[in-house]
Amino acid sequence: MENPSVRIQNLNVYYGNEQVLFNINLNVPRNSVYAILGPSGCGKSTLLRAINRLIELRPEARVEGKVEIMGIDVYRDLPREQVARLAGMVFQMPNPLPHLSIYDNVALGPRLHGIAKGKKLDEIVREALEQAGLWEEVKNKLKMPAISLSGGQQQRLCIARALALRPPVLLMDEPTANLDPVNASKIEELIRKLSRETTIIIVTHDPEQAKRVASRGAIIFKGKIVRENFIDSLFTVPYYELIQKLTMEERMVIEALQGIK
Amino acid sequence: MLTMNINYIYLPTKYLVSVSMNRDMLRIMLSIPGVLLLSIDILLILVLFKESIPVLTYEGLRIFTEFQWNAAEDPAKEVYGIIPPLVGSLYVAILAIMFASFFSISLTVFIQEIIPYRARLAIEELINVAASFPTVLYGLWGLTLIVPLVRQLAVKLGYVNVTGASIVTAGLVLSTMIAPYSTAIIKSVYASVPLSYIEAIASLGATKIERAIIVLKMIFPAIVSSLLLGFGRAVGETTAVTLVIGNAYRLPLDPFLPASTATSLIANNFGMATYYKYEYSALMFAALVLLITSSFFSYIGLRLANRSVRIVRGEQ
Amino acid sequence: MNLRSIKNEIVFLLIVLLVGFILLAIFSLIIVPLILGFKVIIETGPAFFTTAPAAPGEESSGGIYYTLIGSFVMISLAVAIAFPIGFLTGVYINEYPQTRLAILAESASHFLSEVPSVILGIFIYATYVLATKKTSLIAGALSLSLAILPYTVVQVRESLRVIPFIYREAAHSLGLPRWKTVFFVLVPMNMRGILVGLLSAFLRAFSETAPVLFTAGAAFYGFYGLDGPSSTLPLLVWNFARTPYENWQKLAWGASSILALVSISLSLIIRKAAKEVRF
Repeated sequence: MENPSVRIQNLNVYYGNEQVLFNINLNVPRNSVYAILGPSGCGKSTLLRAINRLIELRPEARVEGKVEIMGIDVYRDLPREQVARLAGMVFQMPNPLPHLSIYDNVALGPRLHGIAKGKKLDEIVREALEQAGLWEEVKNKLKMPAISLSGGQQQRLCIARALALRPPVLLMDEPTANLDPVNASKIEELIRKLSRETTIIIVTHDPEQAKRVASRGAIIFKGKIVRENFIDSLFTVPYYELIQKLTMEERMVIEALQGIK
Repeated sequence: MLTMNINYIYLPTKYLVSVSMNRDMLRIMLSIPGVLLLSIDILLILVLFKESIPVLTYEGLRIFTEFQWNAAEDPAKEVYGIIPPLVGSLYVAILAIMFASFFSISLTVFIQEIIPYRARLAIEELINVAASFPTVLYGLWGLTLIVPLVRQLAVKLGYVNVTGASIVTAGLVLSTMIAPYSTAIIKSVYASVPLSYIEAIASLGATKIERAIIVLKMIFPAIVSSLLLGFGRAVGETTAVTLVIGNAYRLPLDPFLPASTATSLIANNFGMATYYKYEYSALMFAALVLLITSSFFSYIGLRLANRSVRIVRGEQ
Repeated sequence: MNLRSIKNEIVFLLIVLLVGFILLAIFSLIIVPLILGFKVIIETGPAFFTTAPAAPGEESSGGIYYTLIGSFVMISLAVAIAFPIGFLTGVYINEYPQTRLAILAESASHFLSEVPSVILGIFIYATYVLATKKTSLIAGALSLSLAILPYTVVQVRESLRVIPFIYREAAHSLGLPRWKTVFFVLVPMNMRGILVGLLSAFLRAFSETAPVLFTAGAAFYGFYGLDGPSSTLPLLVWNFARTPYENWQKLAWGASSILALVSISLSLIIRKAAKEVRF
């Protein structure tokens, strides 16, 4: 792959003495949607948090290997605070800061980094909200508390908040897991639209969702990459070719995933 | 239907009575101490009211307008004004929570964000010991260490002939006394902020310090409530304050001069109060006003505390 | 170095400065009485614990014998009065939580805990002391019991509250009447919590000065029984520290070190015991 926006090389992650990610190698193509799938507890959330160094919130975490975003080594070339400008994050549970207004939530990133003030900041906030498809709904109530919005709106607010820093990469950790189907599909539509200009890495436990939004993906199982390919190929390679190379557990996972059509 | 009636008849009534008797007996026996507790409270308030009546009928509203405390053998010459010591109480308490807020907020951020886990336990033990430490020892410590410091400071500021015992001294000593409590409260609220918010703030690229500031803003009502609770305590503290405030009866316009608080007034004068006709009653009235003030601020503090817990949990 | 990192650095330094000050203050608060006081005790020798205070201006400081006795008896009496009341009230609040009395009792307990301790003293003065026409050890014990009552209520209530409901269900299913469930099953289950409450009550009664200022009298040279005047360690410190006599001040320091030592030990024990509550 030429010029991947995110390149992960030989990534090994430990919590204390326990290893949770084993020799991860991934390349994520630019301006596309990349899915990371797998059962719960397999390490996909850890992988995501290793990309933007959020994993360093846990003092017992140790990271070995290399993570590059747009060619920049995220662990060695940058201080941790600057990584947010390369990769924004959206979480499973919509989490707008409850004591801030809609405007202040979106403006939080730019304010922290001292990027803009006053009118320029207004423009950034507006642009981010438009990109997230929320502007029309909130333009008249920007000063209202962010938690006065509905669940789906709150999640779009969180997307706007991450986009306000204009990162080339957006990391999404099961963003629709806590939303109803209507709002979930709105978010998926938003993801497809955003992927034209942003690289999106989405962790999901739903293979159908991956097929709907992503072009390429990887299946993680117990901290190891089990399959990595274009989305269509991810689920349609003939089963008998696979089982030669897989362990019993890996076979069970693939079987389960293939069963959901 | 008929079978149910028959069953009811077959149940020995003796058993039914004894079961309900047990329940009621337990409840009746247990409620006696509760009622006792309640009566003590009511009695306390009533006694304060009753004992305040003599001075109020004697002085009326002059007890608020006179700025002197004159216990005299001749009842006609007795004059008591409680405003100067009350202002002293409020002044000291305000200073105390101001300083205490700086200390407890910094301590919270320090413990939660800056130091590694092992050192954290040692500091928490230290704070815990300080929280239960006898207040008379706080006073003694203040007398030994803080009074000389304040005297030097006052001399530098141009005061002559000051002992160092003053409102400022009492404020500093009380702030050291309140800080362990408010630190414990603020720390527990800080630590209970859901991980989701912490991750969100961190993912936007905040440094540790910036993240701490945002979380502090998030739990701001809890901080205010812990300070209000501290205010209630500060207003009611006796031994530590009396040892370092200088016990001079004056309206405390200058914080570096000796003054008095409602509690130091009582501590100093109560012993001899029954020798005079109205001093005892005046002190009782001062105690009543003190009680009302302290309860008021503690009550608001508690209400705010409940509200802030709901906000942190994301409810409105 | 840009504006943002400068701001971060300044805040960091400010925090470290403030923390340094308060930790230093707390550390000196605890260490100074220990050091100065132990020095006095070592100089005076065992006599410190077995004799009465010396006359003012003398060489030696004398001892705290009668005050120790007074403290011990008064605190035991106070806990003996307050603990049963607090215990039963705590049990009631936990057993019948939504009743009017439970809510009132809890508010009453909370109110009492917020009353300035000196007012507790003058309340007992206005009632018991004036009725018996003298200050006494019992009066002091009554004041102290008011001070510790709210804490025992809360502690007992909490100890019972954390017991998982299934144990109560199991007891009921075995046919135990309610009072047996409470006193023979639940209470013994969290004995540790109840004992922690007992210790906390002791600690608090031990450390209080203001409630006994006007109720216990000031008897340092003899023990005059329950009905006579007496003294406690904090009272001794309060009285003797403010005098101009050096040997009396030293006596106050010696007593302070005992106060400090007991307070520190009890605090640590209580915290350790409270942590280990497990089901």
